[in-house]
Amino acid sequence: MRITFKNLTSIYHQNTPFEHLALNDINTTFEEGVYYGIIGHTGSGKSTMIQTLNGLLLPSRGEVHAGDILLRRKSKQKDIHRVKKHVGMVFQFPEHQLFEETVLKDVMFGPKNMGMDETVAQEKAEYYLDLLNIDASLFQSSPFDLSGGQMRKVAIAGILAMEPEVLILDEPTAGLDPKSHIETMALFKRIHQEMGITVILVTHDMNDVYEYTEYVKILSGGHLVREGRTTDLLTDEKLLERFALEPPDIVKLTHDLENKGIIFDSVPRNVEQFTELYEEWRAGNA
Amino acid sequence: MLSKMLLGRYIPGSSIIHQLDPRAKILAVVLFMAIVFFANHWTGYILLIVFITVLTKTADLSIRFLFNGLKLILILLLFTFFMHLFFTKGGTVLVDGGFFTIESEGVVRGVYITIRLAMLVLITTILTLTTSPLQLTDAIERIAKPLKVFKVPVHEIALMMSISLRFIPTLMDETEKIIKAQSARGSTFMTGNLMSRLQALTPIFIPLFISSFKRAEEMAIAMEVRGYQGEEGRTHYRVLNWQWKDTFALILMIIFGIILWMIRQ
Amino acid sequence: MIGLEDITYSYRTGEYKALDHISLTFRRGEWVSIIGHNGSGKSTLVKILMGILDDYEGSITVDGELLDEENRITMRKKFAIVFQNPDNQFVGATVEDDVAFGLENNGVPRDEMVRRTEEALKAVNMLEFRDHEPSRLSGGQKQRVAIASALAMAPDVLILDEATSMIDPEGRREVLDILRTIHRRGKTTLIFITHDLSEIEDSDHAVIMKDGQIISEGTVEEIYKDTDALLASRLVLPFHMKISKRLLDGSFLSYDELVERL
Repeated sequence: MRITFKNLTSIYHQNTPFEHLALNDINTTFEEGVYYGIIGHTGSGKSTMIQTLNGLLLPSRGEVHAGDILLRRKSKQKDIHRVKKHVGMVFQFPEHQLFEETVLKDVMFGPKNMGMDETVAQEKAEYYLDLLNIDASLFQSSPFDLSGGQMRKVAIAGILAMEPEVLILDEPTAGLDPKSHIETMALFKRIHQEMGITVILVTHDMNDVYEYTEYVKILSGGHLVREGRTTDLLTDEKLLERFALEPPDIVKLTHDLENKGIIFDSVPRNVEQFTELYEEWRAGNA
Repeated sequence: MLSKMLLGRYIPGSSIIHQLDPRAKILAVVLFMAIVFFANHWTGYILLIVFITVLTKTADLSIRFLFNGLKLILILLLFTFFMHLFFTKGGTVLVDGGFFTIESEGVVRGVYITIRLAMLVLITTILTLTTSPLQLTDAIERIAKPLKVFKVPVHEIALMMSISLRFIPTLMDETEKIIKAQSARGSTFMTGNLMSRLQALTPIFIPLFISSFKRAEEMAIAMEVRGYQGEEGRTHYRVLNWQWKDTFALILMIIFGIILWMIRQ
Repeated sequence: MIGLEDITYSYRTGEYKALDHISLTFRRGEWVSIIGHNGSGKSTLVKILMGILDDYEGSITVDGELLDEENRITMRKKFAIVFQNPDNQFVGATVEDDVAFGLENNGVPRDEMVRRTEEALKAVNMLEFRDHEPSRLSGGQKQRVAIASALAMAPDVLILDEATSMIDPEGRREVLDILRTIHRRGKTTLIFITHDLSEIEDSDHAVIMKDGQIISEGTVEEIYKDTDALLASRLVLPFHMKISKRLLDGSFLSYDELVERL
């Protein structure tokens, strides 16, 4: 599903002394099957943007085209509900949304709301719980008896089980330990690749944006200031500095080595690629 | 919706009204609440309206903004007005609709009572718009101090108020987040009959309860490790400073009361 | 100096041991990092140090004095703590009220209270936010206020219980910067609890806990090199150490040294 923003403006608390312009005249497109990153500082408009993507917020002015559904200021509940079916959202600390008596029931909540019948919802729930390595013996436990990491996985399964075409991730690894962080990001990568769904990642972690996304959109003060290939934008240290964004570790190291005269043929995306390129360079210069 | 609520909100500012001692402001509001009932004639009501208008300007608030805030209690105001319109009898009959009549006394009383009610709401709104919740709590704790004689736990109540006020924005944020998270999972809150609407609230209330209990527990531990053991031996960081202008403000309010009393008919 | 001697604790008698014969020493001014996962026993250790749990086996000495029923309250004043959730430890309605809260509880006279509040806020670079409400602060700023609230009490020991795990990278950097400054002054012992190895580099001593036991202990270098312990407790080396391990001999070095040696 392709999502397009047309002259989209979002204003909070319109006509009160607390009025705040969150997004200002945004024109952009999220193509089908692409892994996007949205970056920018707190207050740059990131969270408004993703909430507008799945109809949680409606535009104050302008339009959102999600597939054949049009969302605007006074859109109908029915259209909004349809968008939510196609655009799934994993909020920050998603484990805070768990509420059902059992793990299985909680994961089935979304699918059932989207009109799947009991058996299909259960099938989906079991499938995605399994995909996230939640043991079947835990399906009938209370979600509140699980560890923090497991709760996070159950909450994520609850979104995946709705089988959205677009998956929005808002700081999905916040508060996780480093190993779970890596596992979670690897899982989203796999889902993106195997199911071909669009993934939109919002995070402060520039290393993740650099390693996993294909395209990035940079927001600043409610404006979309730059968009383009991740490898182009996140290796541009001048650009990052202008928007007070930290360069990814790999990019910083590659640049620091360039200053020493160690120049690679291509730009490494992760530690493995870096190691390879460096060893190639070492072999060539030995 | 919630964002339009003015009652109980605070807008920081530097007007003379903002700077008054919160105790003076609370006492003045209490006085005003009594004074409102002195008015029994149109001149009195006009004076009340003029007074509130001047006060709003002095507090650097926009009148239109304040009246927007009144919209929320519009139903209450209309209800009061119509109750009097239909049920207060006296004077000449203006409309005779058979089973009901509207009489002139009803119109007059309706207008007067509605103005009174609006004045009371407006002055309270001005108080909260110009006084931070913290100052209000402080002031209430000091004003209520004599109640300790009657074993009222004034300090504990004030602390509870202050912590609750501090958590209101946090809990509002959290409620909004949970509503959004469940709504992203296709939960609908605005459709169906009363029963299904109530059921739709479960996914919101359970997470909210769980996190609130957790917060309360962690907060209690945080207070304990910072040495909180009740009021005994406690000192105070905040001091309230009663100045001439506070006395002056109260005197003005009393003079206004006397004027209203004098023009009673 | 604080000495833990053979501490064992179970939440219910007969059940598994949350702490299993732990012995540890914290010297004055030292930065000690305790690394481990939920359930490793770190939180129990903190609760015992803070005097929240007291029915443990073993003994604790603080500055040579054995901790017991009688001196518990006075001893507790030597410790201050910053918890994980920035929202749930903010008692005051504004930044300065929160910092003053502990001082009010201890009956500190107002003049001194104002001075100490100001000093503590200055130490964490939050003085200009003194009249802000918590809802207007970022997670990192709230944690800095929590540190100020702890520092205002002039503790001998400052415990940070996963204080960086819920805040964004920028906030984390700010908090770590402040801890470095405190450490440099050398007056306060820091007990820093985390599961992120990239945050322990400045510590003098580090401990890995698992299932209530200490499975590795030593300098940061020794910890980084203890591959078995890292693997057993699902820990990940920081970026520059990963590179060092892959391309150099895995020796312990800083980022700048890594660039130098590559």
